[in-house]
Amino acid sequence: MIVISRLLKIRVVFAAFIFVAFGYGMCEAFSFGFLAKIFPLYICLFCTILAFFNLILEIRHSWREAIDSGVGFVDLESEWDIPMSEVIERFCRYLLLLLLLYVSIWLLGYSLSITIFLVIFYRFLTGTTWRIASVAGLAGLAFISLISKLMVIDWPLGIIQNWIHLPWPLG
Amino acid sequence: MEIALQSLRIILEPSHFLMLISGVLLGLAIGILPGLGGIVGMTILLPVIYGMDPHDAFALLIGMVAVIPTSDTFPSVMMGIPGSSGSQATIMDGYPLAKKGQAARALSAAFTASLFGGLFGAAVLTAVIPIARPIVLSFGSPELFMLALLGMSMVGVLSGNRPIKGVLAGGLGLMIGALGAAPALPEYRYYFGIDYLMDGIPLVIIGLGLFAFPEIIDLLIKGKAISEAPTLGKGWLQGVKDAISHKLIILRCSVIGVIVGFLPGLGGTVVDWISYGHVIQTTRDRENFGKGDIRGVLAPESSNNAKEGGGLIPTLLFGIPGSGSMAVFLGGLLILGIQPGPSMVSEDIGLLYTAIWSLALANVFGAGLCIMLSKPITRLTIIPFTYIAPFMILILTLASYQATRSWGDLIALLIMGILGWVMKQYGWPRPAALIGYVLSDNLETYLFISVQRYGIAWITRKGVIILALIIAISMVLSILWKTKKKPTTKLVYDSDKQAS
Amino acid sequence: MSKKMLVIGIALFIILSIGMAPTVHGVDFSKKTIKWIIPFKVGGGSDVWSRLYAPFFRKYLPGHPAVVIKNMPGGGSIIGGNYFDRKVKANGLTVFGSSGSTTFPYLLGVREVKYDFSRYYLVFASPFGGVAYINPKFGAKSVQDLKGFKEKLAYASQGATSLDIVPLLAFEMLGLDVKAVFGYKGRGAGRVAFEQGEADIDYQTSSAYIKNVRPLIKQGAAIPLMTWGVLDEKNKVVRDPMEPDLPCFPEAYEMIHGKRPSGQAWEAWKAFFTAGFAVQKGMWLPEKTKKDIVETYRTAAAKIIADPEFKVVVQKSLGGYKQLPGEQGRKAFEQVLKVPPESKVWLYGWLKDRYDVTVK
Repeated sequence: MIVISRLLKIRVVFAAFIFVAFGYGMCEAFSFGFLAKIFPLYICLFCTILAFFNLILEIRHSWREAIDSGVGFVDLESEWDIPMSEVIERFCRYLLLLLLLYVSIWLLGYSLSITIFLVIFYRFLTGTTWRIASVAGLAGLAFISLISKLMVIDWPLGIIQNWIHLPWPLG
Repeated sequence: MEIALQSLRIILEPSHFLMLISGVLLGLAIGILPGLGGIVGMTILLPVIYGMDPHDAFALLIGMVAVIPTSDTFPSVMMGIPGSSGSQATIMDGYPLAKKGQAARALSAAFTASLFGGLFGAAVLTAVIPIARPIVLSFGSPELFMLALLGMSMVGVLSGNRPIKGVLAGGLGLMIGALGAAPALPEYRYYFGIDYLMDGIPLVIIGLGLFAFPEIIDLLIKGKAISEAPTLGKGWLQGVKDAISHKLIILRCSVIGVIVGFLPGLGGTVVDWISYGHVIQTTRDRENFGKGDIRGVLAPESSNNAKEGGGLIPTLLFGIPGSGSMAVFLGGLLILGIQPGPSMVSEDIGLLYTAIWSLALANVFGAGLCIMLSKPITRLTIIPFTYIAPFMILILTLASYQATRSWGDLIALLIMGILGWVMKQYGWPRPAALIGYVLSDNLETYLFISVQRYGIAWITRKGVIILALIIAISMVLSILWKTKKKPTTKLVYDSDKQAS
Repeated sequence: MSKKMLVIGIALFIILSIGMAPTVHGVDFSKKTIKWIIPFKVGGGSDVWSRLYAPFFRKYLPGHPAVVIKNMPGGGSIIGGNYFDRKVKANGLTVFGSSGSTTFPYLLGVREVKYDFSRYYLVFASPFGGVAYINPKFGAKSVQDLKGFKEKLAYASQGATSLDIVPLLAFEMLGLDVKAVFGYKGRGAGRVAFEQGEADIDYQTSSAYIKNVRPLIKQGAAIPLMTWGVLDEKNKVVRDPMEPDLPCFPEAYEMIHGKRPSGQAWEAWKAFFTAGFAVQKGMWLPEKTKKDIVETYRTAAAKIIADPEFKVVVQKSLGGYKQLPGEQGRKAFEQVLKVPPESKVWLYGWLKDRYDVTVK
């Protein structure tokens, strides 16, 4: 149990991921035609070996760290003045926010979503009034509409656009 | 000489001048907005130049592209978010300076260096025209491979004291770059059956995902303003003084910029890393790099402006684009009915001089405007970041989406962003990954062409041997001059201490 | 009212209604925007081509709609092509621009291709020409001298399934021993390779040839060999009017082998030559487009091509070739659609044996 808790640190998991990724790259490379195979094969081979050493090193250090600083996940990053676990928690929160944005883009289309996103962010995360938030949202909408016209880009449409016909920037 | 002066007179005519200024203003805006670069500017202007007088069109297009490497310093220094692909290395030391409250100093140093670099590029463009052809022609595929290898050797310098992770990050970049169509065969690698990945992941997304995304998230997590010091610091004159006292560095890096821009295929996106790496390699006093060493701002900023001048050489004289935005510029030339090539030096030489003057003048105006804009813009570093973040996210998604205009862009951004964030926290050097990615295609392509064409004999070419020596010397130097760190019992993994 | 007046009145009415009918039921794009999908990135050859045409379509389409270029690069133009096939409405407001890179995978039957030119309506096609030339160090002064030529020649190629099928197959049919070096990123890179000596034989599109290779020829650094040719009204390959002194490929073949080209290889070459050069780029309307819309576009195209202002554009930027509107273009493109299956099979075999390339 202690082993697992010490090993499941993100640092170690990531190092393992890199190792597996290069290994996979190497195996995949075998299936390519000759000219297309050489480059990825040798790079992945070299990097898989290196990644293995790196993984061992990471495991060693994180083991030692856990022993030295007692129980738990106290990971001192000198950059942060808050514990790493807190950092990761906040990261996950913002990541979730972005995922919600993406889902919204999928449902409502980019223009509508980003406008709503701006308004909600300003109102609830930055803490402004509704009025300022709306101004920000409209400014954002104006900006992307401008770019859309200038570069002839159609922003992604959401599912809702199949059912309701919305006026120009939003639909 | 006469033609040169005549072109200058043409540019100074009100209509052309107006075009130049419009281009400069557009370039300013594009550079300041992170993630948008020369390609976006060219895309916007291409429909506009149809039917224009070529001199007008040149003033507009070149005015725009010349100023971007100057104005892209703003987001890099102030937020640690690359303003365009040529400004990533500026973040390493520019951003720490801003955090210390020395944003003004970093910016003025950067603009001075940019101005010099840009003018240097224009000057070289002028001087080199008669001898450009033989120089470009002497760089065959084997030589270009060695140059890409030289670029890769920067990975070592930029990894600081984490060589293993640096090499792995470089390898990761190489593999991400290999994603998609193989250069020599109609074969698609590692695309997992996803249409989007058939073309690989675009550069914009790698840059924004690895650098911009983690920075934005981290700033949100910290929940404060960008500048950790209460005041902005005076800095103006200091920045200019710094630039003057390090003029040799600026000169050297401008040379590097022109050379990298000049040789097709090396990729203008790594020029800032190469000069950043070079300046670290060639000094013993490396302690402060990554923490706010002003030289770390001067080097990339001078080279990325100089590269624009360099990039025009193969574009105008050979019709081979020196960079992505030059490729679009070439399209613009064709729309104007101009066929680039040797005729540029004979029949169309007036246009060539218009290009040079536009480049020079745009740099001057651009630097001037940036300096004027600095005061108001630097105030943004004291505002809490939550006011800026949502627009940053908007721009990030927008800039990514314009890469291939599909959902894949947005998803790739998220994935690269998470990867970049994890790399940042756990000490994996991201510049190494970026360099690997950018050089991947060149390395593989030129290696194969060399082997296919010459068999093993390509190794014995003069150019190859010379470049191999240069690589060896630079690597030896960087190892010899490394400051030895005192051995510690516990290794502390810092994320942003040195190059990361 | 006398009977006469009545008859005249009715006659007038009939004449007037016949005369006015087309405009009453006519197509009108006023206040609309036409989107022209170009499956390539901004600044590329096809992008430039469409941007040169776009303002003229605005001029000649009824109602003078705005014509904007919508770039959809990806998968070598396959992604844009598939999008046009599946997602575009047939209301005349969206058109598609194809190039050789779009037609080749279609011809080769590449798995990812979902679009099918036989279902669309061609509005007009633009031919482009190619000129081949060789390094003078081999002593050959014209294509005649290549009879029985034994030396190995290097050619800078973008890939075995790219437009290079045309030159590679042509060289092989002439009996030349050409080693294709893959990995070059375009004909411009190929030309630089030639100047560096990395490539011994090369071809360029006519406009690039005129500007960049002719000076080389003057300096004695290149020897022109032949053009691929153009298609005449009877769809025969004839000499390229831009280089009337050079033989076209079938002529060159005859010079070397003593008889006109025929057989599987020739049929395959002709099909790919047509797709890659003779009707390299084309504007298409989607499958269910109504006849009157198609006619409107084709008429507009014909007017554009006849416009003297546009003729200058063609001279300056499109190689100076006769553009093929409507029926002319459609007939020429038929050559692409009607490739005999045995020729395709032959080509697959050739690609596999010669270059170890399997088309998936």
